[in-house]
Amino acid sequence: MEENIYDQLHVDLINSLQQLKQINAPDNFEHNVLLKLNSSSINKGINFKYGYSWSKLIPILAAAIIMVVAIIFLLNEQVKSDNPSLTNSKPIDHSSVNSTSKNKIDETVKTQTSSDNNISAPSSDQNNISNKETKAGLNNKKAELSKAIKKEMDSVSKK
Amino acid sequence: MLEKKLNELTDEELINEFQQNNVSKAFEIIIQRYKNPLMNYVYRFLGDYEACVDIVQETFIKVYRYKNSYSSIAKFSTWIYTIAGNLARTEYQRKKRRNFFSIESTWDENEPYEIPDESFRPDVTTDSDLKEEIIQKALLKISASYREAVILRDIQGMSYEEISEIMKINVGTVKSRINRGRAQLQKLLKNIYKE
Repeated sequence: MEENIYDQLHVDLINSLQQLKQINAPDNFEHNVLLKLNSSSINKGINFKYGYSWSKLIPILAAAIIMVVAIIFLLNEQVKSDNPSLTNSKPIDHSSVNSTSKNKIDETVKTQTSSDNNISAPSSDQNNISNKETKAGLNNKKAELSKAIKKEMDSVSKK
Repeated sequence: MLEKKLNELTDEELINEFQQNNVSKAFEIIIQRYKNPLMNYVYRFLGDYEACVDIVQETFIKVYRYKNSYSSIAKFSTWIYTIAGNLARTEYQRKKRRNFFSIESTWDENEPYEIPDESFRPDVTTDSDLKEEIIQKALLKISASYREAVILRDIQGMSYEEISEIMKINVGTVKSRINRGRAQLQKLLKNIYKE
């Protein structure tokens, strides 16, 4: 008797399960699947539209960046070599000292003074030793120049 | 014209079209055919509509991405149900871990089950919607492995062999899980069927 009740319950249960309402997908389901597919493909590095992957592009981009950096570095070096270094001061033209004109001498002195100012500006890539050497050389040249100016002044005053 | 022709193809022929010729319309027809059955299967297993939508969408994404891993020896429905089942089981385990210390997770699926729920009273279960809700709640209270077998057999109407392939267990185990699952449900729902 009890078995029959349970058999009936069993049948009722199976019927109830079979008659459960169908759960439907939302209206925009397909659209969302396609959207997810596109977004996941971008994340995965697959570009359906253009047929190449970001993973392949990354080394190319890296190489391009390295090349650009290298070109900038080389250009910088080129600029440095084109402009005379501040440590290599121009040799003093002694012939200008021999000029008889006082104005000329003044101009030479002015030019030299301005170049002296430039020389005194410390360059970042100069070491201390070269700075000292340069300064000593300049002092000598200054002394020579002042001597020459004195001589010239004397000769002018004698005249 | 092409769509009409594709609609007449079997699932296996459609996936073959998609594999060989990359016909995206074939994939769309597969979605149309399987979205509701898979929604039903996953929803009955998880009881969470939002999660169910995500899982079924993820199933189709996997079908798209791994289309070439399907071999024509197997039935397509078995393959797609296996994918959805794996995803649903993963989500179920994740939820279980997350709710481990929550108040909702006080029941243990291995312990005897007793539902002292007022809504199970026969006098309350007149509405069919309410009855459905009670059945769904009862389904969620039985062991996950029994539940899956019962859903596939009694709700999705699959054969023992198909269930055996989807769940990766032998047919004997499938049968015993179905019987145990039904027995658990019967106990839980006895008040509904007593009348």
